[in-house]
Amino acid sequence: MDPRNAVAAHARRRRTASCAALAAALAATLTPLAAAQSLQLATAQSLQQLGSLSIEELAAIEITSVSKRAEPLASAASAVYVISADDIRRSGVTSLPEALRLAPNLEVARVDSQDYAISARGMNSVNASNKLLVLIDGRSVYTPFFSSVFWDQQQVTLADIERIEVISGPGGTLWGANAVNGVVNIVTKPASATTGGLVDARLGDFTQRADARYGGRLGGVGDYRVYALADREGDTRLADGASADDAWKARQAGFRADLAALAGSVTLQGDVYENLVDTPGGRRSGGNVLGRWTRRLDNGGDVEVQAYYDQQSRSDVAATGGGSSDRVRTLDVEAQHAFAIGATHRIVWGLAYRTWDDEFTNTANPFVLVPQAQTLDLASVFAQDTIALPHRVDLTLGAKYEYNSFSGSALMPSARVGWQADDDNFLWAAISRAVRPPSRLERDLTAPGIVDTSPGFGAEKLVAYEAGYRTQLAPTATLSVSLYYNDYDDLRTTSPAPVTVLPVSFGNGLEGHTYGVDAWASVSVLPWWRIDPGVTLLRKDFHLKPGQSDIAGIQTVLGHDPGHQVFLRSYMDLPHATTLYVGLRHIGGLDDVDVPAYFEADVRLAWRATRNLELSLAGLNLVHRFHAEASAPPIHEIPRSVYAGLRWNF
Amino acid sequence: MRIRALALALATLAGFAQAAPDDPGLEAAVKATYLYKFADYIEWPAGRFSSPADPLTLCVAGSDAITALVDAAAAGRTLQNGRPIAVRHVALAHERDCDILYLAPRREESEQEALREVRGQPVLTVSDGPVVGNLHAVIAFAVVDNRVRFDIDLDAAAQNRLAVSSKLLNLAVRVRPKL
Repeated sequence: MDPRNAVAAHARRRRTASCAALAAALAATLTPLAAAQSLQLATAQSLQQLGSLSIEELAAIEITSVSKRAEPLASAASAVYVISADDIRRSGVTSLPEALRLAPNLEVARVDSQDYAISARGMNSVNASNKLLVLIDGRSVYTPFFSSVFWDQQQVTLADIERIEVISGPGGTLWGANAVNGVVNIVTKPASATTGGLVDARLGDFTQRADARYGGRLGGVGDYRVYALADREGDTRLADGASADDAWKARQAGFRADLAALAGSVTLQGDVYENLVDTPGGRRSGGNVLGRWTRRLDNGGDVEVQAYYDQQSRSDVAATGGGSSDRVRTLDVEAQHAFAIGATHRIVWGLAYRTWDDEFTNTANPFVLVPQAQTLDLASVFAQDTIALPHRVDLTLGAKYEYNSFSGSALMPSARVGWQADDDNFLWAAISRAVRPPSRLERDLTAPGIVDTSPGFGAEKLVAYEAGYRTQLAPTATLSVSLYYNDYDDLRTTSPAPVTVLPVSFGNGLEGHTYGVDAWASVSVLPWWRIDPGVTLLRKDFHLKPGQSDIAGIQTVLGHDPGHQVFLRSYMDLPHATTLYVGLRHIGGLDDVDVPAYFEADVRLAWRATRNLELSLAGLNLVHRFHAEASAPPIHEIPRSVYAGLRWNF
Repeated sequence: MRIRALALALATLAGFAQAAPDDPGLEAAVKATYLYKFADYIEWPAGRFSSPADPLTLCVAGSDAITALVDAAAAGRTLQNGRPIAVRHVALAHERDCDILYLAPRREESEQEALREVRGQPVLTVSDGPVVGNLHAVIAFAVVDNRVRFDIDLDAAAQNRLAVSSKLLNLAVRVRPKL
């Protein structure tokens, strides 16, 4: 018997209650960045181009640095895609997970009104996507309960995002645990770039959202901004045509200050939020504060020290009575130092410590965690050397050693080589190892007679082989192609008890591989028209290791992925200060589940009425009245929607 | 216990921080470009330039990644008002007839000496990072949020009879007021 069903019987909807979420994750697989700078900058590096910039533009240029967060993307030996602030604005996306659809190297599937399943290079489903590391301004947001992200609790003022870096492929060496299949690094603008007021409002039939922000100077020592947002997302539909009754609303406020202080720069930021789910009742709340100190040393090196505290909680009422709640408190401190030795070595190294303090209670069904409250510690040290070899070859060697109080030590080494064959052609290849430590759920979930705790459950492991090619096809066209072969070991299985079958427990009995292609291009067809096509291809091949068995079905761990995704995005500057965005996507049918291939289109027309006022009309998912994207039972269908937008700077 | 471990880590970081040489590249290129662009936002005392064709003299003293790029950066460039730019590499204590003087980092005493030399002269002094000592350059580059910005010392500007435009002041990270 599938323990998932035992749990599902207690909850009307899969994820209405956190307990149901945990239980669903039971049936799940487990899923996870690093680089920084836009390609335009790499090409703008010549003095000639700098000379044509205004002094304000000069002040806004990000400089190449040796630190891990500022490696120029043009020379990064990995599959990196950067979602720019301009793309976010012109596409009119309404939330952070919707913005991630702009990255052609991610799988983004909306599960229902609240939830998304997001992964890179496969293993996607709301419960299987546990190998993605997501950072918002350096703060890791995946939950230790089951190693994936509650996307409804991750809101950001979209207008204040500077860029989103999306790496498909492992980033364990720099970023640590969970950066197995990919890394999403969300970077907001410094406060100096968001002075003045902004109102960004969208009124639609599915989404109503308003963001307000005000920023200013702080007495000659720096800049600040404060913001608030309110969001309401409508109901999705079940396959039988009934409303899923899953609408919810969110409120959030926060601040960021960037100061010249302590002989360097200091960033302080924080957020506080509350989400309410109408039916049958649920509340998510949380907040965080983060401080970061960076200093450029006299000798050209960089030092950065960061600390944050984050608290999040979820509580739900189950339709059948009872309820569940969980909370996590995270304290994280990290430091890194980057420097060069001569012209040959660029070294970055660092230390990190994190502690998670969590608690989970459930009265809706018999599934609980034992112990109910737990503290997990994570400590790591990493070092990486980028060695400049002759013929414009860079060799990057690095390793991270991580200790996790749950599963012990893990080593995540990587070797990357990049060759700038000429100014227009860059080739790279990499071998790297990444690890996903066990989540609380996998170790400690128990239900009398159904599931036993699994103290022996260990980390899941990946060795990834990658190669890629980036080229400037013409002055107006770029292309990036990445190939990968991912060799996984010790993936989770749900093992039956000898003879009696129940209770089950978790083991590491699955192995196998995936391989595929991530490719994208950007073509300026005309000075006023840019087209960005993209494609992903994926194949999976997994099997149980000798002597292992699984009763949940290995798809619960492997997710449900489209074999292909094709994207085409068009950005046009039209007369009379109007811009037109058209985004098309064709997503293949999901493997082993009844979610067929779909084609969808988003369109947004915006008119800049005055220098400070932009009015827009947008239609999202225009092709079908309803379509399904994700597999979580029951399948929810996402409606076509439209909105009118207003963006006012003052 | 945790705090002590962190303190130890920080001390280790600080110790290791000494060994790294300059990493030139985009940062130096941006700074070299700033050097002549500052001139559009500075007003020199009346009579400093005899005609619109009278070139602005951009001097650099010492050598670093910025001085290495300044010739190429200013080549073929003019100010917004069309005034040509002449770049000169000058030796210490010979910083005469400069309109802008960039001081590459060097020993504290010689920086102070150079600043004292041009004090009261209509020279826009620029340093890479804060100058150690009593005298400050009018503009000091500062890297903030991974961007090249600068601090402005209005006291030093006033001493050298320079007026700084509000646009430049708005871009500054810190402004030290007139005493």
